[in-house]
Amino acid sequence: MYSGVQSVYNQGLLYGWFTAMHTRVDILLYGKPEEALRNVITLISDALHRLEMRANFFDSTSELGKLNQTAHLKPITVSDELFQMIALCKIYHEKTDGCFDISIRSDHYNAETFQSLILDEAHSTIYFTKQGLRLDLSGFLKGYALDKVREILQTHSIDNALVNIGNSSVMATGNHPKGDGWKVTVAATGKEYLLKNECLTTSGNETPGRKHIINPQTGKYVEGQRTVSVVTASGAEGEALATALFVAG
Amino acid sequence: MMNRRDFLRNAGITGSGLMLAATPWLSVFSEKKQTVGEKARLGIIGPGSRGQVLMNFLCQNPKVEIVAICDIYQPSIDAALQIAPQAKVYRDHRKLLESKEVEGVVIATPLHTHFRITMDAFDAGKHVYCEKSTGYDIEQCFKMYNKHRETGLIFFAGQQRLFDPRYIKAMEMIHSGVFGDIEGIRTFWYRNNDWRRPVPSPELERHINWRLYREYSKGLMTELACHQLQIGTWALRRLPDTVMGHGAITFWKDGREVDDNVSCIYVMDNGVKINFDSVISNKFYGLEEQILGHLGTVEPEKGKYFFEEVAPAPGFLQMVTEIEQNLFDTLPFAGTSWAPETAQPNKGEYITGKRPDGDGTDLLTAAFAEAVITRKQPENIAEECYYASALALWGDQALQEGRMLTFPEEYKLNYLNHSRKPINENEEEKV
Ligand SMILES: NC(=O)c1ccc[n+]([C@@H]2O[C@H](COP(=O)([O-])OP(=O)(O)OC[C@H]3O[C@@H](n4cnc5c(N)ncnc54)[C@H](O)[C@@H]3O)[C@@H](O)[C@H]2O)c1
Repeated sequence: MYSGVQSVYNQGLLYGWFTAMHTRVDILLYGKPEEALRNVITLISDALHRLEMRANFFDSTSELGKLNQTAHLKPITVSDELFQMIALCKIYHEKTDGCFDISIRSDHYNAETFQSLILDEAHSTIYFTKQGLRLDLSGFLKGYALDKVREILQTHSIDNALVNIGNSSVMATGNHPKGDGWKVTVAATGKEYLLKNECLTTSGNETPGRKHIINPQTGKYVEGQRTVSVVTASGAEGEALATALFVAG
Repeated sequence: MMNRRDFLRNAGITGSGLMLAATPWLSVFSEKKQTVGEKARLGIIGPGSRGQVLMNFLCQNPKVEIVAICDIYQPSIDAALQIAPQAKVYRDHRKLLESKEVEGVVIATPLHTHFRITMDAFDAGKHVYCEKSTGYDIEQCFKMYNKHRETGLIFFAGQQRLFDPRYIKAMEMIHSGVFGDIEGIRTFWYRNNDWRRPVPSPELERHINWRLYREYSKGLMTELACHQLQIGTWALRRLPDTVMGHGAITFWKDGREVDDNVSCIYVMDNGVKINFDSVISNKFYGLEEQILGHLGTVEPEKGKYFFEEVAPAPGFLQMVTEIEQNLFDTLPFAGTSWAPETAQPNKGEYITGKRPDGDGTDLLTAAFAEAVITRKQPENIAEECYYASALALWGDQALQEGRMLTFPEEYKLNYLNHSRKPINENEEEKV
């Protein structure tokens, strides 16, 4: 997949887009010279691609892919970032009563599967007590990526930005050039949200035939056309919450 | 009634500074509602097939009154009276032009008559809308343009794409650099028919099928190419310096005198080319102006644009390209899907967000009426129309002579990259 950044600059606004995480990422920035804005978008693109190399479930050569193949043999030392992501997912699993569950794609999945995941914080290792356990961070990754993007924007003193990852994960910081905060509409529901330094995460089945989220209680795909959107401070939390609420019905 | 904002909103686009730079003639729909209740009193000369289409639009416009029609063919007069029963009937355009009631004329006669009728109309002090191509050769086009400049009367030609929302919006995007550098324009118009109309009796052959005979028309170049060449120069904002091409009758060998198979290459000073191809014995590819940028492609006839790699989000794109006019607007997000884009064929996006409807003729006629009422010639209209016809005729000349031609200095306007070399001191001031 082509992943170079394309962009349009007009009257102080820079819109850049590229693909990462199997989808298009859109970033709108302003408030700095054109070159500086372009540079930040390139840095974001690099960061998201690095994140993808760590945590792409579908790539057996990613750090997560390797972990999924070997962690049942012995505890595996992982990067701080991957450890942090999985640790967060564990917290959200507890907080959502198991509705948000990254072990959903494991062999012979049931509600207990997640318990086979052992995290050792002191040694930064991950161990699977059962063969066939597989962690899928795909849903979570976009929200986590938004939090990364926020860090990069802060480091470069960019106060106003709108960031969209695949239409389902949106982060708005600062203000629209002509107003306070940013107004965003979810097409599926027609609902408008005013975001002020917040993330909007949407989970759902866009069309009656489309299903891609598994219910941990039943192990089956959630059926029916339905959409859940949540507004949160953190993108990672938004992903966990939106998925959990969608599954819980 | 219609102001610019209404026009843009009706057209499904929001206005911007950029857009007005690409399309300055839209200022004809003035912001002030100063023309409400006023009427442009028009005469229609040559209400044949195209003339009736124009009349139908004009009749729906409360700012227009069709006061006169003129034709030399009774069936056309009968049909025109169905549309405008109150109109006074003339059989000689000079008589129509004597009428004090007529402020402006719409000329939709065959090509070879455009020059005479237009010049007579200007001499009579009437505003002119003349169908394309304006003249039978470049010299005629040039004289018609200059007459418009000398008299200060309104001059429009039938280049309706100038008012077609999808073209206006596409040009705005192209000029803002969204598709990168435009490196080529491939235009083509394919049909599979003999281009003939039924003739009620043999002596009317040339009157009805004037398009097929060189005395009246220059065939595919003057009837079709002028539309598409204008799109090319509009997108490039550059006029060509050389042209070459070939034309022949390869399929419809039925006594016609104009080619049924032509191909022309227009070359800019920077090497970028506009191609025009027309074959009328195969219709598979239809018609299109393919505008080729290094980042993307526009196919305005289909109303679509495509990106070479990942397409941008229309909402974001609009926000950046139209920031001037944008208030605190909401950004719509398509939904929750994150399907890998590479798995999908490059289906493109509609330029105006929807399937195109209409072709700009309604707005072109409305713009003419507006200009007649306000007596203000919209910026660049006459220049765009001049070059559309001149380039088509110049291409025809290249086909006829079978050699590469340079655009004649004496027929250049001071427009875009063309500039007139003053021939003498007076000339400089005049132009
Ligand atoms: N802009 C467009 O998309 C478009 C489309 C079709 C035609 N046209 C143009 O419109 C013009 C007419 O084309 P058409 O297809 O309607 O042709 P047509 O033959 O159907 O109509 C021409 C009419 O002019 C009349 N006429 C001829 N000589 C006349 C004269 N001296 N005085 C008064 N009336 C006279 C004819 O009797 C006829 O009624 C052409 O220039 C053509 O290129 C433009």
